[in-house]
Amino acid sequence: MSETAKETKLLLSDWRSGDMNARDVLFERLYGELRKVSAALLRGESNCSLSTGDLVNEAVMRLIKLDRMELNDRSHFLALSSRAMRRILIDHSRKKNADKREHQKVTLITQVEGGAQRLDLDRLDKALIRLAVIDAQKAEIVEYRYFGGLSLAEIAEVMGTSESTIKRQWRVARAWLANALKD
Amino acid sequence: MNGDPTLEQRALEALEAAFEQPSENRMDWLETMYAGDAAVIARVKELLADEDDPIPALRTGGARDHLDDDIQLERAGAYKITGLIGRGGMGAVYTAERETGDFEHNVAVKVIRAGVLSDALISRFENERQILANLNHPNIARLFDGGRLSDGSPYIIMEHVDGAPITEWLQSKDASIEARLSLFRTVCAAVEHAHQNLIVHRDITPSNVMVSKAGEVKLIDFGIAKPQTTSAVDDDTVPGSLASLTFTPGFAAPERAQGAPTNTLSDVFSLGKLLEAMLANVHIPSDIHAIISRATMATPEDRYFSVAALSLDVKKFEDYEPVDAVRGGSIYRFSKFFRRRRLAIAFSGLAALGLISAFAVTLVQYVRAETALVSANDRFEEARSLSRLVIFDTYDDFARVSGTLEARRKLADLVAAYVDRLSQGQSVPNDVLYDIGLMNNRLSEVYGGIGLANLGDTDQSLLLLERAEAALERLMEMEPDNTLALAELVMVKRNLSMQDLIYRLDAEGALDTNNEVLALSSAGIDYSDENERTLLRHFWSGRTDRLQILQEMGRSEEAARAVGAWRAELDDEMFDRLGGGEEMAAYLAMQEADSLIEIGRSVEALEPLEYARSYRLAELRAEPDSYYQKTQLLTTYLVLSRAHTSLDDGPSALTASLQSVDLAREILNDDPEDMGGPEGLNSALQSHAKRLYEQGREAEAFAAAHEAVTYARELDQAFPDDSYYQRILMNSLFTLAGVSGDSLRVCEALSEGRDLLSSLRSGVNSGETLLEEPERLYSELSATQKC
Repeated sequence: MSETAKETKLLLSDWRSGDMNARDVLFERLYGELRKVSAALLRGESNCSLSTGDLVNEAVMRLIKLDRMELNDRSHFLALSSRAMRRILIDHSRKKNADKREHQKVTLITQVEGGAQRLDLDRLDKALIRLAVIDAQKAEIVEYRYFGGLSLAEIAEVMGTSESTIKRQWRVARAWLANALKD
Repeated sequence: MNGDPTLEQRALEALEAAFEQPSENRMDWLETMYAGDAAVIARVKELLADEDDPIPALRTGGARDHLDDDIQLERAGAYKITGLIGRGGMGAVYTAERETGDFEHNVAVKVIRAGVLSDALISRFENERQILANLNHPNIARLFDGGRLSDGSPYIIMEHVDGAPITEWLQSKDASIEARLSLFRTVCAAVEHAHQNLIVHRDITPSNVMVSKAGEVKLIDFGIAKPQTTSAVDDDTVPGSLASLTFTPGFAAPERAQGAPTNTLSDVFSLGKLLEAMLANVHIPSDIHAIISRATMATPEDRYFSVAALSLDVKKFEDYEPVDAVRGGSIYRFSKFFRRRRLAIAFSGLAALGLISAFAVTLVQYVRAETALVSANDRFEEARSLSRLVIFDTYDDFARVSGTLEARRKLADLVAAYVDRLSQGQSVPNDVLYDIGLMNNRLSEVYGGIGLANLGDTDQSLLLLERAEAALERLMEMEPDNTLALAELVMVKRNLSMQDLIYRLDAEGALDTNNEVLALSSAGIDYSDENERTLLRHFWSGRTDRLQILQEMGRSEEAARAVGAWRAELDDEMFDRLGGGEEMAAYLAMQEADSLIEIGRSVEALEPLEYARSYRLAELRAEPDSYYQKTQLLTTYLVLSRAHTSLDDGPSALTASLQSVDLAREILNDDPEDMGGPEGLNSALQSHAKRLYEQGREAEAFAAAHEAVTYARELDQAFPDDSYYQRILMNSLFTLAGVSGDSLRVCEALSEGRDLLSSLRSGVNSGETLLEEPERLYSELSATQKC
């Protein structure tokens, strides 16, 4: 095990025993790794994996370099990575908007399956902050799924509840966000 | 949460609960549940309206698309990009024009994201491009060219179809059913052409079947099309590979979602779905319904064996001939025959020849389709996973809702037959042994689980448990470290011990088995592996079983001492290790109360009873349909009533017994098929009858006892050989005799009860203590009455 991996492992166990400072250090490390991976992606390097789930996993693997991760650790990491991914994407979106000097909303209407219209990340982020005040758990689910690319099963694992509950809450959160982003 | 929930919080909570209701009842349910809260209703309605119009981009990993924004594509090969048509998970589609400008030539460029495909898949994708380029059919969008962008992303250049999806086009034209069917057969012809060139489309959906402005059908997006598979083991079963990347739910054949190899039959399925979508909003004749169902059968073998066969059947309908999809009776054939005669179509020699050659082509395809089907071994695996799904997930979903016992019986019978066949193999592999144990244990719950909604078939239940025990013990001999199997074995033994106690009145046997349960589970906990928590929970559950056994044996002192110590063990650390031991704590509290009442310390019983009662009520507020919580609350009321009685607090005792009767009626109404329903009500009514009698309300007491006997008799008649229900009937009769003032009725009840008592006495294995109470009751009652 490399030094980094050992440290990571240590930080993880500290975090599990309630050390929130350890959590913050882990977050910063994870954030750094995710930034590296997504920057490579932005440069158009084709050798990096593509889904958000893969991005997150790649960052985690670089950081911890463990063959086998304990389930508990994995859940913690997935949750943390989703948070980091959210920050990266929001930063990216803000920077781009600033570069353009003005805010531009791109809406696509298309016949292509999956060619859905874009979301304004900035507005989504603000709506999510409001949702978190009303119902923190639902906001978290959106973070895990939309930003972290976690599957329902993974979210259920992270939150320690059933997939069907997550699915229901996701529907509620989605409806609420659709309403909040309408005007 | 601080203070009262805000409107938003209440609305979100209501919406979440509303999603648990079937969509057709959702509005009614909402109006009823939140009748006093108009603001919540209005807000939920608003949110529900937006639920119908979700943000498609808000999907798993959707945020990632934002990273692509910066990649601006300018050209692909000899084409200049002019616009973006859309973006999907796999890549993006652009409009482009030829730069050299010799002639006006607009195309669509589909770019697959770099990194989505492995190198092997990219090279295959390029091979396919060659095949697609050769596909020359007026109803298939042409493929012109392809290559790779500088970053390695593969792209293809296709004919750009300026038009609308077929369904939208039909809608806008308000086309007749004849026109729709004819257009559908054009689509079939195009797909058939592809099949003859060994290309399966794999993603036939309305948006991939376009109608151009000139009214021509164009099949687009063979993006995931590839040569037919010829072996069962194929690359596209690997997750993340080309074919598994996109498919459209609702149109994709079910085997696609499972990653099974696809073949022409998958396209038959999608075409069936397409036909259905093309006929939306028009009346679908029953023959066409039959054709759609045949095309969309879940099992590929049950579908039309080729697109040509599907198309031909539609043609038969158009020609008023009997369609193959309806294997109808003679009336159907005659009516078709008469209609056909009016048109009197004569067969030419040429048409007959055409049919024969068409058959030859389809026959070849059928043989190919067969070879691509999953092997027998794969099917076996599928059957196993399906059975597990049915008996766990589906069963659990049903079990959470009252009133579903009949549906669960059907599921259980289906799986029981399957597990039985599974066990008949010569040498059964270890993992299959585990499955046999697991599923038999599960099935026994459905047939006669204690404290669960069940079918009341205790013999079948016991038999299944013994089979489960045998399979798991065999497995444990071979794999002594298998804690997963150990946990299951512990559960099986728990069930066996409780069935011994309750159904067979064998308390000694139950205690022996309980010793095994505690020894096995604590040995398993010592492994400290991933099943530690499960085993710990089983261990604690074993303790609650033990208390019940001790109580039934009359060893209440011992039970009270043990449960007091065990409740003290349930500290925060143990809650943490158990991962939520509240349920356990509530259950133990009730057992403590029960044993304390038994040894005359009823005052001390009130605290644990109140603990259990408030816990159950809170759980029921969160989950109002929970059968389990309802039965547990019912038991709590019964024990509470006993506690008050022994404290000479008649009015409180009566209140508690009335609550138990009300709750028992509710449980019975929830699911009239559940044998636990009448049993619970019988028990509550007997208790209530005694409390009423003690308060001098003899007429009401008699009515309650009489009703209790009615339910007991029903149970006894449904299961005439079951001693458990005989015991219930006997006890009910003695209760009736005890509260009745009419000597004739008393004597009738006593005489019937005595017969049951003597037949029970002769049938009991051991543990006669269980009959001591009724015997004492009988001798007391017969002494006071002269019969």
